[in-house]
Amino acid sequence: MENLLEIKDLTVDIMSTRGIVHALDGVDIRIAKGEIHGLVGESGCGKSMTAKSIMRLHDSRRSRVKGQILFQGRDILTLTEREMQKVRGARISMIFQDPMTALNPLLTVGDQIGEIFSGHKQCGKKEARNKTMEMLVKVGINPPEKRIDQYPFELSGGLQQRVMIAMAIACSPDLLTADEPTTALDVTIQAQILDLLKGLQKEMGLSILLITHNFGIVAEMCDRVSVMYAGQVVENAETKSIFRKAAHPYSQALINSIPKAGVRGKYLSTIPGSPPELFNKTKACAFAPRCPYADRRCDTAPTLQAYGEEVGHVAACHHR
Amino acid sequence: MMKFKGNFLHRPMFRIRKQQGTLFTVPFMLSSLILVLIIGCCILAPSISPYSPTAQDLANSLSQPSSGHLLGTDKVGRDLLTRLFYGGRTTLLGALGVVAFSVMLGVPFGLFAGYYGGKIDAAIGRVCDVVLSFPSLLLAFIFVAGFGRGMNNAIVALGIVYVPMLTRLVRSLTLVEKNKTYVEAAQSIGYSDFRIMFRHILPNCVSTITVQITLDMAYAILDLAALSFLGLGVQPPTADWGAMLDEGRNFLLQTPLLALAPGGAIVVTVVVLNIMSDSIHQYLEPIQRKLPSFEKQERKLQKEGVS
Amino acid sequence: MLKYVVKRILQLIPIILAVSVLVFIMVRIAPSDPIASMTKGKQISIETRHSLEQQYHLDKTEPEQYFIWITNTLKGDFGDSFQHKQSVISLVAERLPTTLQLVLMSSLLAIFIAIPIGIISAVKMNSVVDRVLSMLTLVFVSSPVFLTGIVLMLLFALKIRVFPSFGTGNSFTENIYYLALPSIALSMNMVALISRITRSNMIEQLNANYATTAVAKGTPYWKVVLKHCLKNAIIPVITVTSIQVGSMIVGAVLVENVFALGGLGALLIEGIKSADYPVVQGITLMLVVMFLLINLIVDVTYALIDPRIRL
Repeated sequence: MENLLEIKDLTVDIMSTRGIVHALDGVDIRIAKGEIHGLVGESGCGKSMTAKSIMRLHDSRRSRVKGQILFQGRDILTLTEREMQKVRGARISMIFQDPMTALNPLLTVGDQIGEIFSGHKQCGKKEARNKTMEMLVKVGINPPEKRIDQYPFELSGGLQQRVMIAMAIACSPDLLTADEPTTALDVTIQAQILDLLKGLQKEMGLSILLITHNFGIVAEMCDRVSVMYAGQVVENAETKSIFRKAAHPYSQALINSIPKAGVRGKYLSTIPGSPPELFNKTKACAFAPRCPYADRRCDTAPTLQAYGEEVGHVAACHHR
Repeated sequence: MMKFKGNFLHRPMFRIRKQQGTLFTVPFMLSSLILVLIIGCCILAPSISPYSPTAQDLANSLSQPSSGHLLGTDKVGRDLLTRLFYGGRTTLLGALGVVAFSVMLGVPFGLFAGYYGGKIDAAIGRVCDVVLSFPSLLLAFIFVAGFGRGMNNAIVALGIVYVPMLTRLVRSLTLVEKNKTYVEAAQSIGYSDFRIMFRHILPNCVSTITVQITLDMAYAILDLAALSFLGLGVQPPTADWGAMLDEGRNFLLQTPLLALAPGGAIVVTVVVLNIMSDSIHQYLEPIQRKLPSFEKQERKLQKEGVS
Repeated sequence: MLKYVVKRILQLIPIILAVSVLVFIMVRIAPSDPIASMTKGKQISIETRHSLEQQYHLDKTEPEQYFIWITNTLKGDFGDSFQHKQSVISLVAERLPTTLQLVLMSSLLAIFIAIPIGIISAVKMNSVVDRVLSMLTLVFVSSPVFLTGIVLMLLFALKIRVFPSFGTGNSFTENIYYLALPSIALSMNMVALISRITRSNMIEQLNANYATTAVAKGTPYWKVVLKHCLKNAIIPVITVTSIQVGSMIVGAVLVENVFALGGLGALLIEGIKSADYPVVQGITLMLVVMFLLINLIVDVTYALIDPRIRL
């Protein structure tokens, strides 16, 4: 299948008050057209940073980016700010984790969605409003005439996230990045939002980069999945194949920590320790300190190698 | 199910770096130095300066700066530099007095209001409302009108004016601290309310209060100078920066230094206090702090690696 | 909305009463003699003294005096000045226009300079521009208004004679010229304060999540700054501005003093120095009411900006 987005050897360093954080370290990800690609890992492993890099949303004064992000063959990192503006919201769009803070509290829903039409399509006020109305219907917000003039604080979390989705799909983009779109929502609402995303993806032929820490969501939604740890992709495979047999101990641990229905009297498996703080680069395998299989070999970092029978299943582990 | 060995601690691969940044930044050190210098001159005025701040020497009136009088003399021949030192004593002590007064009332009021809540909070709140319904300088005028003119009265007047702001700050800090576990713990041990407020809650608010106090000190200098300038504060012939500015402006064309020197002294002191307050604030809340460039940081890391 | 305004005004009444009592007491405990201020220090007979005391109700008990004053004030009669033998109202009416124009000019000047400075410093946070602007505002926030006034006067009225060094003109437009230096002096403090508040609030809002969303939508950065962030940052700025404008009415006294402008403040200070009870009481009460009303107007503006605030 044709690649819509190809991230090649992406390295991002962030300057923080505590020193340089090596947030991403040589990340490679390919997203095909019409694919839902899962990006999984614990908090702080670089998932959100990857998404931000695709949109070029990091503070340019505090970060240093190397590598390539090819979107439809063009390297996003070399675009001018003005060219980038045309990509953002129109060709690539993004949904954030917490819709409450991601929406401007002082502008109406209509203002915030309408801004996209007036910005990218040079629509007049009236036309923008009509299109906004259509979008609200499309994401299942009823009645749109009432909601369009409401402020974010008047909406529930689920509705707010639907507004975010409406903004994201307004210009029928090619790629939608969803950064933990359901984490801040009630469990019952989560399923609705995921269904909505899946429906829209089928209808519009979108590609979605779905960031989550929950392998359960991956199982339901994604075609492929990349597992990230400490700023690196440690495993990449089709969803079925990773669930059949995960290669990396970290992926295995994440899959094992999904609660299963009908299993009682057993503790949920956990991963001891927490992800490393990324101040120093290391030559060793980053997961080794938490890994049950760690041995001598892990003092040198593994690279992504083919694994198993499936084509395109790769993992970075000496013990695969 | 997978088993994990507890071996994740023994490899110190990722050193956890301590919070970068220190209170003792260049601007902070520089302003502390200047402040110490100013205070030093004021304290040591009698031994540094050969002149008296009030002795008149009419033969030498309004003289230009010379080796005898480094900044020249005023209308009645008093040495300007000497008066600047002595004036600093009045101004700085006055400002200190204002802040001390407001802390002595404002901090307990804020603690009581925040800790007890209810009627006590409401009562203190109403009093603050009344005081805050005045523009601050106006209230100082009214108090000076009541107590009579003069430095001590001006200090008390401004002290009262500064109380409500501090009360509100301490109250809001107390409200936050009150719900923390350590207060509950102290209560469960059976400590008295008084002890909990002053020995447990107060120390946790001190840093924020310090920022406010440093800032208040700066404002107090400005407000005291304003009162003296209008003839409501320090009375002649006592030297004071505000009063000296008032006297000096009558000779603006002949000897502008008479007005500009005390003015400059006020500005420098207040700037320095502002910088110190900002530094402490930034140290406590590092969000707005300027970060080093990548190159600088990497050079530093390399240096650390070598040594 | 109207209900809210009425409620707030009702809440103000006890505060204003408390203020009036406070001012009344403060003026009475003053050590100076009001009769002396009426006679400008001349020796007078006991009889004249008594008749003067009677005329101004000074022979009555303090509570009675307060009651007379406050009822007359409610009727709009602030009494006669001891010193000027003229009604307080007419004295104020003569002086108020100058003070108001001064405050108006300074506020407008301050707002139109300070907010852009604050926005630029925030957007260019920690850059050279920001540092220079921060340094400048720091100096101005630390400089007493009367010093700024004196320096401006020295530079632009005495050394280079572009502006008059004292006095006022006869009309509003002529006054713009006369009040130029005083307004600049008075506004400098406010410029510094407002730009610093604007800067820190803008920095906070520029880092807010919704700003990232706006950028992610492909909104041009200037629009994110001016449309999305400024609106969110402006409320604290308005608070500070309003308090500043209120204090400015009083702070104007310092500038009026420097430039010999005979405004309201000068009248008040003179009244304080000479124990002119009706003048001090009347002006203070008027200023406090003005100050409180400004605050009320500001609270109403909040509701217009932020839909989450319901009045």
